[in-house]
Amino acid sequence: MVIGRALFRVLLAAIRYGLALLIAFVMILPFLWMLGTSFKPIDETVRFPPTFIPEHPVGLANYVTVMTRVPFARYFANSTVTAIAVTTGALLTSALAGYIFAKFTFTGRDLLFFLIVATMMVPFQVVLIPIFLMARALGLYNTLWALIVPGLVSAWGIFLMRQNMKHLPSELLDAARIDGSSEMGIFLFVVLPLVKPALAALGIFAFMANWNSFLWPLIVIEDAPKRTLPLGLALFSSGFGITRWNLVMAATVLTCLPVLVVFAIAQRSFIEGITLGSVKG
Amino acid sequence: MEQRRKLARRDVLRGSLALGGLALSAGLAACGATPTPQVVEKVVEKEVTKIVEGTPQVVKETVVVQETVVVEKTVAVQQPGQKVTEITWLSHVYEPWNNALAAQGMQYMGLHPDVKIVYSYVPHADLNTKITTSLAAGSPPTIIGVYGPWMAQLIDGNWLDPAPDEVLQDLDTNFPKVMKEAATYNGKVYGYVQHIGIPAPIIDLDLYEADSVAPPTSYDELLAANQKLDKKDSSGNWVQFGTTLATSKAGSWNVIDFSAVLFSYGGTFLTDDNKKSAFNSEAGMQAATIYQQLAHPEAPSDAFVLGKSAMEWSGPWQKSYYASAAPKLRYKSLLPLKGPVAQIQGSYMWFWVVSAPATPEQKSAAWKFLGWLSAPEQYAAQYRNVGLLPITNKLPEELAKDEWAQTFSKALQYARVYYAKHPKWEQIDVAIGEEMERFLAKEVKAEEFLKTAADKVDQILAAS
Amino acid sequence: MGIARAHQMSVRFLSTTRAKRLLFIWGSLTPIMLYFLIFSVLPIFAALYISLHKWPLLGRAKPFVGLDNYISVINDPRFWISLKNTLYYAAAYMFLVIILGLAMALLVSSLHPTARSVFRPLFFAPQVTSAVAVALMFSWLYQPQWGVLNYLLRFIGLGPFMWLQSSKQVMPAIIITGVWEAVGYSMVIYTAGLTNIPTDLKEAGAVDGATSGQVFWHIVLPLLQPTTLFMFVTSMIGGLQVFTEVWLMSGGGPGTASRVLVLEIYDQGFRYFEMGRASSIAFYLFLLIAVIAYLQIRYLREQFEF
Repeated sequence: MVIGRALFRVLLAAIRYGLALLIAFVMILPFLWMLGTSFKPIDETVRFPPTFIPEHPVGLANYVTVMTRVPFARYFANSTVTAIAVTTGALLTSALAGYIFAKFTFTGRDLLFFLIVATMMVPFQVVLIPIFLMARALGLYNTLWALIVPGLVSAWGIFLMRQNMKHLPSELLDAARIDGSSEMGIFLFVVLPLVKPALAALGIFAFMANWNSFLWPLIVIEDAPKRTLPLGLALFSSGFGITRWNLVMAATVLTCLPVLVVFAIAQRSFIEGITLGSVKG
Repeated sequence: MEQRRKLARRDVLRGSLALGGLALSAGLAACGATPTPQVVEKVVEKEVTKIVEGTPQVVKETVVVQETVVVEKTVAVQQPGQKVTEITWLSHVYEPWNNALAAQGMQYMGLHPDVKIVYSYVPHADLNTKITTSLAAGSPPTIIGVYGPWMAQLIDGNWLDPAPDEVLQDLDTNFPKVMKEAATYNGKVYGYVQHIGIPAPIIDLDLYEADSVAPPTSYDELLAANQKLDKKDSSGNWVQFGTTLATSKAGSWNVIDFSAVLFSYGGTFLTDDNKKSAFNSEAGMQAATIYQQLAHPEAPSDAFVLGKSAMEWSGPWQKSYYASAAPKLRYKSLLPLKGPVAQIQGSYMWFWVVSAPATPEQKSAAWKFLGWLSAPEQYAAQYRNVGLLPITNKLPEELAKDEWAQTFSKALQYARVYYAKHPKWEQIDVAIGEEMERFLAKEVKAEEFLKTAADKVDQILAAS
Repeated sequence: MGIARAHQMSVRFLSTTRAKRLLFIWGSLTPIMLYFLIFSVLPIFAALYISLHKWPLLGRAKPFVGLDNYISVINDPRFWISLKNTLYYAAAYMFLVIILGLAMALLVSSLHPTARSVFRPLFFAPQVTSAVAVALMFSWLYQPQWGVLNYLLRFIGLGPFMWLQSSKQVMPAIIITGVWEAVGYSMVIYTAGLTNIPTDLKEAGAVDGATSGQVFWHIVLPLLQPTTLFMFVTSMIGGLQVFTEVWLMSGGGPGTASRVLVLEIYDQGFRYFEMGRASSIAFYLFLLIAVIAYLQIRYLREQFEF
């Protein structure tokens, strides 16, 4: 009987891991093609059916090309500075606002919250030009600030943080208040550590959104030295119907590496099932 | 409580140190960035000795070579106190071309120290977004590379500067008629032609020779050739396509390719006064039926380069693509095919225009620069780099022996702009292109395609 | 009352926790709301203003036309086709993304911790793969003659399908691509949500004799409700605002079989340069989203405590 049970468990585990492997394969296939193509010479990129492993790989030649034909270091710096600034700002403002909407009652709370969520419902294409004119009026045109300032507050982020803070036990917060903590103190030192996974998730997507953003920098940045990485690397995209896929994919891989780094750092916070030892029942 | 607070403070400190460190390194990296030499690609013909059937022979091969052009930051030597006019210049992306244009801009600045040219480019798909946002902001670039169908609207909105007399003289003297005609709207000329997209039939010599088919000169001959060149296997799957013309409305390509057949069979898209549709006609019917036999949605997009298609229609720039993507491909460009009524290839134009909000000094400097940029020597450089066809009366000497350039240059005589000069052309284009997609996927018959498309076009025209 | 007394009362008030709380709330919210005002709300009102005009971006005259744009949009059959396609996409997308994302999050959390940190990035890979590369790969997958999908389906005796070239199959094809891209996002959000569920609750359930299925259904799922609401609303918004996948893979074709609302907005605004019309379509979309969001929140509030 015990052997039967153990066998069953092993079988289940095998199914779970097998399924995970299958899904991982499906998920990663295009990325592998992207990676493989970035090592191909151009005549291998036009293959149908597509190949994943280059027959005559060119080593790092494509990467070197991409990094030397444009001022790569400068674009990378611009992207890094703006993405980190926006992510930090979005984390703080979303957590703060989310906390207030989740744990406080005041007049107009629900209305304000719905208003914030409602701003997500208007497609970007249609507010693109008004926001552009607004940024221009504020003197942000053609500055890196234009890439930072509009993104510091995120409706999506506030929504996410609010949903993840609802479970916070009010008793804990009240206890801290009785202890004489200031409200900001409670937020910074009691609340924030408890929602690390949600902050990590928010950090990943806020960073990704800003790092990959293309349309907004395109219209708001004029001078070449201020370009961000996706904009700078768009140089290699198609023109006259001819696409050098090997260069384009090398550029894409370079662009997505920092996001993967951020993901790797952030996912350490994804510890399931925190035990709230200080709360009884 | 105290301990938790201390821990949290440590985290905050760590976090800000990391941030600061990253920012610092980023800043340092930025300082280190210096402009690098530009690399320009050229397509050259080299004479190579090869062993053919046991005997050494000298054969011509096309090769893509890269040349490093060191572009000085500023070569202009300015007189003290001299006024410098700054003009901005926007175009779309194709890296070798952008490098070549940038180098030409630098060259011009060396010759004219009183002008500063700031050149920038954006991906093709985002060009009109960039143009409209800069127009919305009221400060468009001085010189813009503009796609033909957008001209009518830009002119309607008074955004473009009409060309001064010197430019008109230049056009009359040095360029084929089609160049001035294409840029004329309401009696005024608004720009130099940047390049002309004239697709020509290009055949795969290996596939044609394998079935002993002669290169076709007319649509009838092409259909006969495809009797042999269209090949399917026993289960009905395609093995080889005789001709693969554009099926998708992306980039308007299916409409552009279709226009050649339509025009050659005597049809047009709109009536001469641009008030009604005119392609739901006998000519349209014939053209549609033929086109359906030449355009196959089942074909992969690179079928010709992959050796699975015997003919595609493309422009002179395709040469550098063949050289890099399929060096062993043997191909030949043909003159536009003859229809029963005419021999016309629908083509499109890109223009260099000057924006109206610029100052008079900027406008004058811009027109002078464009005149220089459109001279034969500069066009020749663009042909070498990108394969763009020089649009001058006489081909530059060096290209006189280039068969590829010669064929396309001859094809210019048969070129006609495919779009009507109507402000709503983009919508008309989309309406026709959409219905064509359905027709080519064999979901509707030719009569229905023509009728539905014509009705939509008439609605658009009536609403303007 | 005298000034001294008023001063005394206000000092006493300001030292109360209620005052501290109000100061905290409004001190924090005011700068945030200011941002929203400038960068979200005002542009939306600007777009509303534009929608009441004939606003050709390249033209000079921008006359006020009242509700003409709204009326002509309703009379345009393209709008209704786009609406239908958009709803189709959003419903399928939402459904699949939520279920598959949750399933993936659960699957990953059931693995050994080291395996988790390997599989999670792998499942996340689609989010990092460039949209252009994804569109390209899937176009090859869907290629009617030589694509892998038809090749595999032939073994089961199905097909060949035209996929992106067929009016009937193009929407399912794009939905599959969109869902594939988004499950990684859904998985991450659900993973964060799962961390909010204390293990002692789950253990208590197991001690009480509940199977893992019952633990999931009666303990985990209800506690995931805030996350599920978040996913409902954001994936609905994302689905109704789909654009990039359609633009890259089919351009709205063949014909109008895969036209979606944001594509209409883009074409009107940036191809035909008619911002007035584009804005009016956007407001119809906004109304649609707002109504559906409201219904979703109402429904979930009835099922669980909001």
